[in-house]
Amino acid sequence: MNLDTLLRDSAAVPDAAPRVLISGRTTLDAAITAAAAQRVAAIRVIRQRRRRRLSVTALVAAAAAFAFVIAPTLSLGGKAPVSAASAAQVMRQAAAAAGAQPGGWPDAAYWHSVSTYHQGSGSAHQREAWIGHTAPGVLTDDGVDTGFIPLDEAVFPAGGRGLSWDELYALPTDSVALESNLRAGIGGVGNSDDAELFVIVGDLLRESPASPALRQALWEVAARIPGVTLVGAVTDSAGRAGVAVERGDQRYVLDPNDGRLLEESSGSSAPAPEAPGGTAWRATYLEQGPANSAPATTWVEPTKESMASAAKASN
Amino acid sequence: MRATDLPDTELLALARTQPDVLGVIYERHAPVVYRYLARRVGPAAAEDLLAEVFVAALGARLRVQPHDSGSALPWLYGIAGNVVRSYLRHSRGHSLVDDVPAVDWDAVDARLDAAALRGQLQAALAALTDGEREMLLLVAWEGLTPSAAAEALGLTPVNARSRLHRARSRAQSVLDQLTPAEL
Repeated sequence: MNLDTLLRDSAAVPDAAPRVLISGRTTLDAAITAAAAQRVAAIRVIRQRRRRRLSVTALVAAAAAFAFVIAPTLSLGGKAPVSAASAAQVMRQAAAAAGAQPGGWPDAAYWHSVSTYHQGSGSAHQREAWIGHTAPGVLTDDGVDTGFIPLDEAVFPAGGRGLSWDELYALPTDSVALESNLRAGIGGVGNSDDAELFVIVGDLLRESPASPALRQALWEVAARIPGVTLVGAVTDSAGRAGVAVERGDQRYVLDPNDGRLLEESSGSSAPAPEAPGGTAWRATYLEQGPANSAPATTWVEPTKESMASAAKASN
Repeated sequence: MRATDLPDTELLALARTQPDVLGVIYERHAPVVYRYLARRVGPAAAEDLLAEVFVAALGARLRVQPHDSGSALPWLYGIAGNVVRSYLRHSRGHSLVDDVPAVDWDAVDARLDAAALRGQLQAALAALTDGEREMLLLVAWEGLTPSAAAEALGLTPVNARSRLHRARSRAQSVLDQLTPAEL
């Protein structure tokens, strides 16, 4: 008997019935939903958080509005919220201080940042990113994977847009022009334009090579957003003194003396169907600055053994 | 651009951060993965294992890089092979990892018309190592190129070609001993 004939004859199998494909997809979708709930601790923390705000949190929005509980390690320093005018003052002070810092990194190769974050009822994770100006970047995030995780080249979220490094540097640094530019790019993302603008300020300050002039303008824009209130003096989870301002469930802890964004938090500790541990999220920014190089990623070609263990780990 | 328009390589890259992209990969490849499973374990078991392959892929998505071939299929076949082995090990009550060929021969024989042919393929393929058998079947049953099969098995293309050549000649020689060559 010829081997090829035997192989050919034994290769014929019926196609999957539509019912089989639909049933498999249903099972997969349930697993994807579960993975998405874990993914709140995944690579693009910021974007996921925003999507979650649009989708998951919308389901529990009413509950979240009343049930938002500050992360326990965030000490409030005993001050009650005061008027919105004082929040604006604090942010204007931060703006001036940020603008007085040295620097400007339009030509740097990478932007390096170190942070910790905490999601829902999970434990704290360490995150270190090298965001590439024109080259792919690298991430370590022990909430995602143990090794180096390759990233695409830099994209900084700003409402409905993603800005490249050079586009970030092309943003106006006059705060009025910047505000109209940012508002024009919101494109319906977020709960409201004011809420999204407040989020964008954080998006462009954290893990971002924004120049001192842009940081100044961003805090000036934030100081004009209606509805931002002063929480008061706080100590962040790294033990640093700062001042907290918030709008809705989005809170920033800043250092008015140098304009740094120290920490932020958002979400609710109330359990939701897709996030049993709640959607409360907190990130603490420990350091950031320019870098000439990033660690080489050593992606190992998947072998049968590695895929077997990966398949086993997912069972 | 919609995810459904993206090539597999970009989907696999996206899937690291966007698990729902696996849904697009499923729509694109589930029918072919089903046939892979059906060839090895029969249609009924394939129904049960189809979702398992993609759920395993979901869990493995952080550890994979898009393949040179541009298709997610070699990666999916690699995962499907592990799912099949695990299923057969379990259903046969095997505890030894190494002695489980990733094929249910009853399911294969059920597809061969002539009773005389049944058992022949098993005998021929039993002479091969697990890796040689996988290589041969990925090429002969799934229609993969040797280099795509190499990706599925984590081999270099050169190693894959020599393994395929070895597998073919050894399997054919076993067949020749079973049935003298037809003139």
